[in-house]
Amino acid sequence: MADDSQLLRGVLEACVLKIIARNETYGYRILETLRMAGFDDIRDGTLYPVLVRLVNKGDVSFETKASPIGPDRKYYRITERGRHELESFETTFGTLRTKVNNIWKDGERREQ
Amino acid sequence: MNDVNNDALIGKMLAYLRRNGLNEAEVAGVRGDLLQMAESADAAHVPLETHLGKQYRDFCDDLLEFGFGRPRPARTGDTDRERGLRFAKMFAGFMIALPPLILGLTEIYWDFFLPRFGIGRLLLCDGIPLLLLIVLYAAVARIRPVGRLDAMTMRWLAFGLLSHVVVFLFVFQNRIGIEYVIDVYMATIALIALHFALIDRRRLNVEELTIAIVLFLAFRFHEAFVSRYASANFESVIVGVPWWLRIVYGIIVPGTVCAFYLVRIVRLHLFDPFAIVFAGLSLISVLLLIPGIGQFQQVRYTSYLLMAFTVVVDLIYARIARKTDTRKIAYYLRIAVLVFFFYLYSARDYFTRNSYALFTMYEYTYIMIATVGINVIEHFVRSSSRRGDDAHV
Repeated sequence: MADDSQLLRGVLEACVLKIIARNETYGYRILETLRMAGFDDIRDGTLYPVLVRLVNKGDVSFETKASPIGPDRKYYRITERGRHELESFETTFGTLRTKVNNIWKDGERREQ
Repeated sequence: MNDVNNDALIGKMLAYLRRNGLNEAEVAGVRGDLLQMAESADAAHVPLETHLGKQYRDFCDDLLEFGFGRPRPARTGDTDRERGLRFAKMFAGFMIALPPLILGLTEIYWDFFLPRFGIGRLLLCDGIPLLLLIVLYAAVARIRPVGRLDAMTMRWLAFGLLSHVVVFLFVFQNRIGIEYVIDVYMATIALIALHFALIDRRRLNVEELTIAIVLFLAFRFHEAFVSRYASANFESVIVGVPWWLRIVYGIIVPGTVCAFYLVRIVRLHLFDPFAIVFAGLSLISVLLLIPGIGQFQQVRYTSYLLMAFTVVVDLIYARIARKTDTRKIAYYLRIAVLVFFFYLYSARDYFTRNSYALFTMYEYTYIMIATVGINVIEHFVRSSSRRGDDAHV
């Protein structure tokens, strides 16, 4: 179970979508938000494929804007399709979380 | 300095992505993003790969698979570490061949100085190549860091060493009382099975294993047949069996080879030169059993020229094919060399009992040649492929 990359990958996509859903934002800002939430190991190399995937699926669109302190930035914005995806994820994940919690609680009861 | 390194790295990454199916528009999009990331990396005074948090191949593979929904490319190796691992793999492969060579030399020339068999001989004969392996690996590690041995390299080393044990048991079968248990066919099956179990389950080694088992069974039948009927001299004379049984028996080995390749050609439409050559040669071998056709036996020697020709043709083809076909070609070359070995063996004095006593050395020399051949050809095919790949970069 040490390799949690597969588990992380699916969840990370939803987390990134959720961050973008709050505000139009750019890559570095998304990375900062993820790190502040506890995803300490996330680097550009992990985030970038997720952003490309979201764009290719049509969940997110982007616009390139000039940055005051460096190269141009891509600002990502959630699309209507992305909002549906997010709602769908929240429902599915909520159900999954309940099931997983049930297993955990059941295990704890048996141990007692 | 970083700019130059990053530019080179980005060039490699884009070439890799392009080679693995991204179109120009997609590559252009990625390029813009990579340049931005490179600027960020420069600002942080770190190399781009450090900024990405992974090696460029891993990053590109993730991007292809997860970002663009393309199949994850097979790894052929490009980094220093992978070059080191490839070297270790190659050397471990040759380890299968080297000990029999040393054993053979010591058997012939050094018997006076060495213990005749047992642990002392095993240590001496295995110790030298093992020491060589360690020294060479250390030398390579000094030249370019290769990191710790990973699981795959360990498997190759295990394969080399276990194969060595198989060959050792085969060579000393008489002395340790296991005659006819570990014979040439059994040893080959064991080597293929080891390769299948330890190295590569995905390639079509099941076919190699199957043909080896079939030939092993044929050999067992051959052995029983010769023990029962053959004359105890060097002439190819079979006594006490009807002519039709002799012909049926003579068909078994070349017939199996012929059927194997004909099925590949006709049903699978695999028109590779080796399949055609071996189907033809084994068919000739079958036809030679017809009385009066023996004068065409010399045709067999033409096969050696054909072999060289087909190797050259396939190498050129591998250069052109570059990617997906390369593995397939390497696979066919491997199986072809294996069957070539069987073919050579089956073409020897086929019906004499004494051949068993005399040809043991030949048998394991063939194993050695076949193994070296397989590794050398595979190496050159893959090197050829890599040069083709690098041409893109």
